[in-house]
Amino acid sequence: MHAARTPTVLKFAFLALCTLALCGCGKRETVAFERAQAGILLVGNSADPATLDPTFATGLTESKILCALFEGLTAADTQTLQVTPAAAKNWEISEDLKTYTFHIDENARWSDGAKLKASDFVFAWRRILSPKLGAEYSSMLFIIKNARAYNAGKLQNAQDLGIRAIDDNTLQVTLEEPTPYFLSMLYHTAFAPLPEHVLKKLNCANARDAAWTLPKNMVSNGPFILEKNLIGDKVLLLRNPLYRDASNVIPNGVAFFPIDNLNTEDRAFEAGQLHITNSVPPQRIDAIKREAPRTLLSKPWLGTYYYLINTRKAPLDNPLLRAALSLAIDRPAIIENFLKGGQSPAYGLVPNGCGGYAGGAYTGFDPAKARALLKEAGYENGKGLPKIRISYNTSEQHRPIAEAVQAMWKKELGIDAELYNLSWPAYLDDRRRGDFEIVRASWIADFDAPENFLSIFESSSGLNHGGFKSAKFDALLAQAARAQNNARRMLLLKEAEETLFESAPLIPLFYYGRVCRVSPLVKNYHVNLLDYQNFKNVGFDVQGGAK
Amino acid sequence: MKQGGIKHLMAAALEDKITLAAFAYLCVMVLLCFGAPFFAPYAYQAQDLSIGASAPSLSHIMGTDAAGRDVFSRILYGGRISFTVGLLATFVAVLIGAFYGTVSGMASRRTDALMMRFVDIVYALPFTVFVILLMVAFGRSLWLIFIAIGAVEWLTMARIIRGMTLDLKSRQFVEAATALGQSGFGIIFKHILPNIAPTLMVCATLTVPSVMLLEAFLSFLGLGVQAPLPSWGGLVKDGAEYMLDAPWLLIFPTLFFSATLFSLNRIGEKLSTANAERFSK
Amino acid sequence: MMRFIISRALQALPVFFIVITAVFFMVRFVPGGPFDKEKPVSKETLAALNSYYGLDKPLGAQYVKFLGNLAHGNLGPSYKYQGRMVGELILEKSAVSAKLGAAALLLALFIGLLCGVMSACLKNRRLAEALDAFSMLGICLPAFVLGPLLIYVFSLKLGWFNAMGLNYPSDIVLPSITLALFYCAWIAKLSKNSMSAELKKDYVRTQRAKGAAESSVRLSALRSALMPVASYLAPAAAGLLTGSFVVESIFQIPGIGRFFISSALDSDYTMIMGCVMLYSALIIVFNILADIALALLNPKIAKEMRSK
Repeated sequence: MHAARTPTVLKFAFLALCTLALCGCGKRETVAFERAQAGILLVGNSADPATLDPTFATGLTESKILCALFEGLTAADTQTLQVTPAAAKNWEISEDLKTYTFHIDENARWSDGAKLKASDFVFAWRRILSPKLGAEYSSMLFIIKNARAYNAGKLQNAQDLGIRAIDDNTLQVTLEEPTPYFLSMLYHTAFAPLPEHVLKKLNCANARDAAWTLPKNMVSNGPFILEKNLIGDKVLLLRNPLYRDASNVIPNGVAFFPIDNLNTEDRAFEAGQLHITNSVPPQRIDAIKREAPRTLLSKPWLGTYYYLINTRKAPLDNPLLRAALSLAIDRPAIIENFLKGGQSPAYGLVPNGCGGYAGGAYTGFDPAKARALLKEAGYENGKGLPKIRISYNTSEQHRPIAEAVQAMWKKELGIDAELYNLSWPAYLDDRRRGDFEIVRASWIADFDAPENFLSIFESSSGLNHGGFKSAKFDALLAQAARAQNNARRMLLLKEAEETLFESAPLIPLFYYGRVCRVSPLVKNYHVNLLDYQNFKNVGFDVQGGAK
Repeated sequence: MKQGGIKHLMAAALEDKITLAAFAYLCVMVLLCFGAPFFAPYAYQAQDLSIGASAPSLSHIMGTDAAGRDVFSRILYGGRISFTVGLLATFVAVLIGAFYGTVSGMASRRTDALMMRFVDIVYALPFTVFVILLMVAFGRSLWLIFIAIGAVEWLTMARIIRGMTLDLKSRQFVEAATALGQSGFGIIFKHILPNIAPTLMVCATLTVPSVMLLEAFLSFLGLGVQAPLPSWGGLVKDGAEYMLDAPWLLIFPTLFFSATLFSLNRIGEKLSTANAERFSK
Repeated sequence: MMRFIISRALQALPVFFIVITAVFFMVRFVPGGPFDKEKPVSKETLAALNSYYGLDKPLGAQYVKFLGNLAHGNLGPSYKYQGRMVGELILEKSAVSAKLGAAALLLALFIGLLCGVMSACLKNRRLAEALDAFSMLGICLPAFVLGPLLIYVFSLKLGWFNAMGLNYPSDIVLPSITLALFYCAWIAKLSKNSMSAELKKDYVRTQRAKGAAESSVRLSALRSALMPVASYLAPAAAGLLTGSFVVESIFQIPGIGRFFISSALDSDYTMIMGCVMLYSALIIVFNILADIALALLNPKIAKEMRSK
């Protein structure tokens, strides 16, 4: 009886193994190869888009998709970030540099055939500035005349905004001050046009929960149209046949996969299910550099990772202590051990080369000087200093950095720090209420200009959670906005950054790097400082075979 | 039947060589982990960024992690946390679960229904929201993790125990006892508990790993022990990411983790078998 | 039996309501809110958002509105995914999780029972120990180790399977194995233990002494032995069907497990309520099913249930 049982078990196991093997036997080609042949790009995109409405989109995940769906007045070369004409075929700038007149390409259409009109831009920009809708990126348009007042509800008549449609093909924009980087802001999703006729028909013009962004309703004017939006699964874009430059669009479609786990994404790439990833797990980078270096793309990215200090509470209200803390951190070691992705140490707030800015070094790694400053502050060897709390939101990136900083402060200064790991909403809540001592922060640039970084610390800024207030700093930024020429502007901005670091309300850690993997099946994919992509020109190379 | 004779039980269970080895291993582990300040060669948070993640060597017998911290030391300190969380939370869960389950099973239909509905309610509460709330309201302490985990684990136990109690209640010896006028609690202690004890023990030994895994899941979400404190669940989870590039970060913590879980299970099973044998006589 | 089912179902309704009310108020006490995006928003924007969604009204009023919407079957809009309704999102995602969960449940039952019962019945001790060790795998190897290991071997090295998604038929194999193994271990242990205990009982010896066939002896022991398994299955099945965060993250499966956890962490109120309702409904249903199973396995319990 028992002897008969045993073979049954083994029989079953054998059968199971065979079935398993058979399941696998069908696959000869990888998904990536098969999709490349069909002309569909497979891109890892880290998260589901929270919204596909350009008025309300704030994140990088959304802007990747939206820049492929919508085309603004200008675009940029994905390699050099050189501004190119897009929906606007040319423009004139007034002598006082405050008025821009754009001429819209007559061939520009929406994907339902309707003509793209100047009024579509007027409609969109008024919508994002509307005080009732609370669009998070309204502040990007404050460079436009009267925009700030209108958004604050102080201006009733939308006609007074510096945006006018002179006729169907001409758009006139009046700025508050001459803003030399204005044209480079225009390819940001905040400036995208909206299909006014569609939103009005679906009653979405004054609403947030936009039914118009559903695939069956959405109308866009960019190289692609929205085919599917399956949350947690993928967002599929297909070629837009009515795009004004459709003949130059290479891919037939782009599929975005919201993979938030870096290791899952890496495995998917290795298994041949992705063409382009969003990022790379740091611990894999060395191995990839050895084994498949051509699949690794690593470029600087305009963004700064820093620790924001709450300057309102003792003992961190002492600038000497703050400076000492910053000088005790060995940034290159942190990058080498934990990040490895083309980041560079940050000794200032604004990255070097940002919009032509010459970045400065306002701190460094100097343990001796740090100890001296600490002594001067009255906390020699860390005595008398209570535990300093470092708050950060849950992420595999933030934890090792915080642990390293904690260890460095202990070793070099004898200071004890404790780490506070918070969920994202709790982290933001603590930050907003000022309930933190040191909090981790990042700023990724929206456009290529130092103002984008420095404005965080303006007194009026909604992001200035550390309580830094300097009339001199504010004044310098205001002067820079009115500067007559670029050289003067850069000088003023530099002075502003110097002023900022005299008080040291932040500890800059590193400038971001963009690292991602690109399949050999893909060509002409470039990574730039702003990580601006529209996927128009990304091509395929399927001659290599099924890998 | 008396609950005494634990010594006989242990002797019976430890007759088996493997179980003896498991028991010895556990004793050594507990000693090493709770004595981590004495036995660990390095402090668990001592970093050495110049060496980064290095393979096992003479100075670091199990290698180092990306921050240059000694893996063996972190395993010892991590074991301390994991054992504490595992054993304490399980103890709490078993105590509450057994009590609740037996009482519910023995009680009248209405009381039983009410008690089980309460279990349903608590069970249907989303664990994460509950834990997040606890963490936020009362700060981030290790005790909170015990409470949160224990508050969830007792439910499964209660359900199983109540099911067994219902079954036992219908058996002849319980009916006989009731007929003889024994009180509910007397029946629970004299007849029900001894019969469910083996299952309880198996449940308990299976709950400990479940608790340890739950702690790892909490770390996954950022609600576990505060960095840089290590725990086995956290070490295994981090190690999994380094599977291809620094396999010692996965292998050693997993070995200790698995060996501990295996030992706990082995001992629990042998005990329960021994116990069952006693009552079938 | 029908009366029993109906009475249990009716008892379940207040449970359901207590749960959703408790969670409704609980989540609003967690710090932060649903409108926090990557770039922190200014106070004014936040105020505008809260007023737009009616979150600035008193809690009581919000609760009443929520119940009113619920009566119409409207679970409200998702705060995180603008333009989408919670109800349709949950349906979509839970269908995926259910598929995976069902596969894992069947696998766990099949392998678990096989290992457990056989291990108790086999005279060959070595084989029994081997089966034991095999079923231990599910406990000793957590999903976030097993999953990547399986992917590494079967997907990356051997190329038999995909590493993510559930688009091709073979995609279900690796995730369901990863998900099933843990439950498999429990089922194996519980069934082996209770089967062993049953087989040593007096009535079994009596049956054997009377000359009954071994297989029928085992079968009768099996009925009692399966009871702890049935009790265990209620929460296990509900858990499996609502998806596993870890497995869904590792295999990038668009299921409700990931959704549930992330909505709790993001304070997406409407989504949390929807998921909680789904989860609690499932738990309640499966508890009732487990009770029915218990009654079926032991006629005495059924009698007791009917007589009460």
